[in-house]
Amino acid sequence: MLIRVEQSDNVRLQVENLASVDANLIRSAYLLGMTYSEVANETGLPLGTVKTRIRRGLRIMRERMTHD
Amino acid sequence: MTDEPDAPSDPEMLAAEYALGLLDADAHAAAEARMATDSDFAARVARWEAVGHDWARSAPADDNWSPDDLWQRMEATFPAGRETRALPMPANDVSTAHAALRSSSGWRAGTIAASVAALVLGGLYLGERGRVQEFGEQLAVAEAQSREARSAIRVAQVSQADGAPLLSVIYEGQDGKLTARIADIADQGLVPELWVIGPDGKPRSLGQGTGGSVFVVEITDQMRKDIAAGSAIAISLEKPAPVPSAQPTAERILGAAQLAPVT
Repeated sequence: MLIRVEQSDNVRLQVENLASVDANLIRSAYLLGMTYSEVANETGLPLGTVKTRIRRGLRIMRERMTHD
Repeated sequence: MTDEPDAPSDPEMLAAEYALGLLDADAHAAAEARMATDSDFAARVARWEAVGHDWARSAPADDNWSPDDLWQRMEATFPAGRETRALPMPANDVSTAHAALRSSSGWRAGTIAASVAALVLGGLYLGERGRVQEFGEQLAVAEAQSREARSAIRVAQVSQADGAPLLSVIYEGQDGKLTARIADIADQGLVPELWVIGPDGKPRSLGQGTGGSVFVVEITDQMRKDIAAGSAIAISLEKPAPVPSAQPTAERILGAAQLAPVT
């Protein structure tokens, strides 16, 4: 049981960390005035991938805003 | 990973993307039009704009000046699609320096490309591979890279009497690129000339430009050392000349500001 609790906490922490990366990306893009295309151009990533990442972060932010 | 559609069907997501400036021109225009007819959408946009404003407010206020704050305000002074202009270089710098036309997004995006790429790639790798246990190390590396990139950036701004920017400068130490914007100055036959004042107190000309222009200069190795050691940037009005002046004309120095690192 103790192991399971620790695993659960670990997974929660990992999810929170992942969300933190998305949030940092969104915040950086906003403060530096970058659009999806500009982020894609600068990182060399496909535009669709960039949108997926940022939208995932936005959804998490929305959930947090709703719960706050 | 499948491509995302151009515009999300979820109005909340679209509102967020619009408010945070993520949309490209066409999608931005469509969302703007929707704002005028869809009050619910407009309300969602307002909520997300508040989020963005909170981020912007996280920088210190003007009376607690910081380079971070200046960086953000300077971003707003460099409009998209602006005209850029090459800056003539001093004769003794010709062999090692050149002026280049740059796109509006080049400097702002380029300076943080490494950190953004690190964040994106780090997150993608982990997210898609499910190797979240390595996330902490990846994040630490990304943050370290981000801090390193930002520490090489210096900014300065000289304001006019009414507070409007007269001269805005961003220096990227990693590649020695200096981007400057000069306000439209009523010059009366004179032209603005930029100066780097090094730790020895001696002004060294960056060359002459014109008011209302933005340009990018790759500066010399010596100036890079001076800036790294702590330098100020100054602007004066001088008579147009093929070779930059040896010294600024004292009575026509418009202002100076420290090139301060972004922390």
